[in-house]
Amino acid sequence: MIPVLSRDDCLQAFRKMLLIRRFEEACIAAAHKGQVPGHFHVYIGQEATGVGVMAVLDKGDFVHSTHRNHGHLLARGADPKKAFAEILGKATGYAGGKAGTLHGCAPDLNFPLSSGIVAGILPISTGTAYAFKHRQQPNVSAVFFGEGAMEEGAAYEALNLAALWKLPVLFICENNTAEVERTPGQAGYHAPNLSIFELTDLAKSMNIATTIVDGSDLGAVWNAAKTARARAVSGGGATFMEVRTETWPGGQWPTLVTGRTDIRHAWTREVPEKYAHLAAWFERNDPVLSVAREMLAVGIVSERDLSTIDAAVQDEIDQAVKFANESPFPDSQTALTHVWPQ
Amino acid sequence: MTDITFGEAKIKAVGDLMRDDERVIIIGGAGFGGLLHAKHVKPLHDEFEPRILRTPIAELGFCGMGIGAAMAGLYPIVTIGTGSFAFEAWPQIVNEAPNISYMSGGQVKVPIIFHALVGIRISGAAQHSARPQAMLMQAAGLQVIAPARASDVKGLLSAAKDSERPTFWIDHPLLFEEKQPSNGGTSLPLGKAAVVRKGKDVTLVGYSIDLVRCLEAATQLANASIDAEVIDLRTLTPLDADTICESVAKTGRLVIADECYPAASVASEVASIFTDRGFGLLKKPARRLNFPAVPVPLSPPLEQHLLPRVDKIVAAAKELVN
Ligand SMILES: Cc1ncc(C[n+]2csc(CCOP(=O)(O)OP(=O)(O)O)c2C)c(N)n1
Repeated sequence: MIPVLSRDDCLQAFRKMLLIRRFEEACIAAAHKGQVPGHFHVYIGQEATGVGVMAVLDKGDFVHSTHRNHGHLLARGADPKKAFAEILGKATGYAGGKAGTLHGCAPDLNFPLSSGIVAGILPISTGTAYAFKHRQQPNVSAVFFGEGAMEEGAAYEALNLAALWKLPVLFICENNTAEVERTPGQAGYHAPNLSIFELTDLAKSMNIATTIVDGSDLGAVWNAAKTARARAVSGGGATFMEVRTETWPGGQWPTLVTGRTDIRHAWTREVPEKYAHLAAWFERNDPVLSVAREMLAVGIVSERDLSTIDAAVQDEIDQAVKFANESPFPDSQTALTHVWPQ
Repeated sequence: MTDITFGEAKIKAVGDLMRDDERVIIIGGAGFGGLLHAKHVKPLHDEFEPRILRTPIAELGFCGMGIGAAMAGLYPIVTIGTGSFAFEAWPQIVNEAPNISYMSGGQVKVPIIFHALVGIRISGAAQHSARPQAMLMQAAGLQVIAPARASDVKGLLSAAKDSERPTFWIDHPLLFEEKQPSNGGTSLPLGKAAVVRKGKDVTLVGYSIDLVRCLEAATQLANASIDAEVIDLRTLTPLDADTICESVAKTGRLVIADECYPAASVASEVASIFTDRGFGLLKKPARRLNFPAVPVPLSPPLEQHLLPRVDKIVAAAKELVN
């Protein structure tokens, strides 16, 4: 559904999606060299969600995220250099190496600390939204979380608070298990264990507006977020958006099982032999390739344009990786700073 | 006798409890190992699948469910996963389970074990590295056990089960591969620390992963001709003051290693013994090695700086002896 967007919007959004993809590829490469401390989670396959939502947000809005925050940070406009350095635990990272992958933050972008606790961030998002409402400020809080968060009681409480006081919250539930058959009680990690059949059912029962969007459709995400934001700032309260994507097969212990993305797949549509068993990913589920294809189809870009964008993005990521690699680890004395505000 | 890892021993111990008593069930998602250690846990899953309830990500709900199941005659072992996630279930663990026996005048029992992989797992950062044991010691009516050796795990679990008390099992993610010649077996008394290494110059007190650090420190100290006695607390509630006092009566010197924050910690509780019943036994001030009062940072050099590392234990012991 690209045509709803202008050419510029489209190109900018696509560039960001590709930036996230290349960033995560670099992250996985660094992890395989043993450079990434701790367990990390990547945003591959969900790029259109973060980028689509962030595109309609205002600078003054708040953005909240989880363990899977890399893509949200970059979509919000974070500096890939500082973001990558943080993931490597370097002194030049956003939090001087203290936060790492799980707790991405860019406070200058109204992106406070991400929570690594499933559902831990939802109640907090109602608070930043309440502050807007209290000050009658026309802003919203967007909170991203996985469908697993819906299993925690905190999600229920947060939705109820937002509903009770008509708080300006965009609850963006990123369901990256869209292909999993929803049999209550028959699932595990990466597959929801919920008695509700649709993720939107709970919010519906609280009279929160809901919508279900295809996460490979940038235009659809964008439109839904735009509607939700308009509703929130005009006093209509929260929206619960379920954005559905298929599970990227390399996810759990991030591994590039689909290879480094080759942008030419967008037009050649040739799935390399060794990825034949993952053909659906290349043909349907990869949001980066899908958006590239749509732009080609409506004639916004040429194959050559796409290659040019890709080269520029790759260069930006190479610079970020270089910056992070060359940055020092923090001085051990900084371990003791910032416990209290200074 | 072949060596057995702590990970193998504990899975075997849990399996034995289940084999011996059909009331024992497991509640909890990732089980005793988390994803990293799934291979250790698999035999348990293979043998007891119908008695393992894989839960949603709902710590508050399933810990409470365990309490109810215990009241109704089952014996649940509730695996919470990472220790920090116990905070999600805090109301059930500290404000429901421990009160029930007492407030019912001893009529209602909650025989249950909560289990979590607690502590600094290395690069887990602030929200995956909690050490809630000292806080749990503040929950009157909750027993806290911390087996650290393959030879103890079966004995302590059996004793906890026989006691019918609500019990929190402090386990540590870095203990899995620790090797020992035996997996023990007999039921051990609760509230009895173990002298794991005999010595006469200085007493090193640890538990869980800090016991491993103390033992390594003792080996290094031996090379410097310092003969350290090493004590494993084994249970935090009840805490065995006698064994510690006996040791310090001999050595006069005490180093305590504890990943908890310094204030109101396991280490401070041990040190406080020497303000009353152990008064006068110390020849030098006790040294407490805690993790400083700082949220756990991700970056490796920062985290290493804060840990109660082996070299810090060695240095503290040397200072006391020399
Ligand atoms: C309270 C809590 N329990 C368990 C975990 C361990 N954990 C980390 S991510 C995760 C799955 C989350 O699934 P979902 O919310 O759907 O997000 P996704 O990873 O699929 O994006 C779990 C169980 C946690 N971080 N916090």
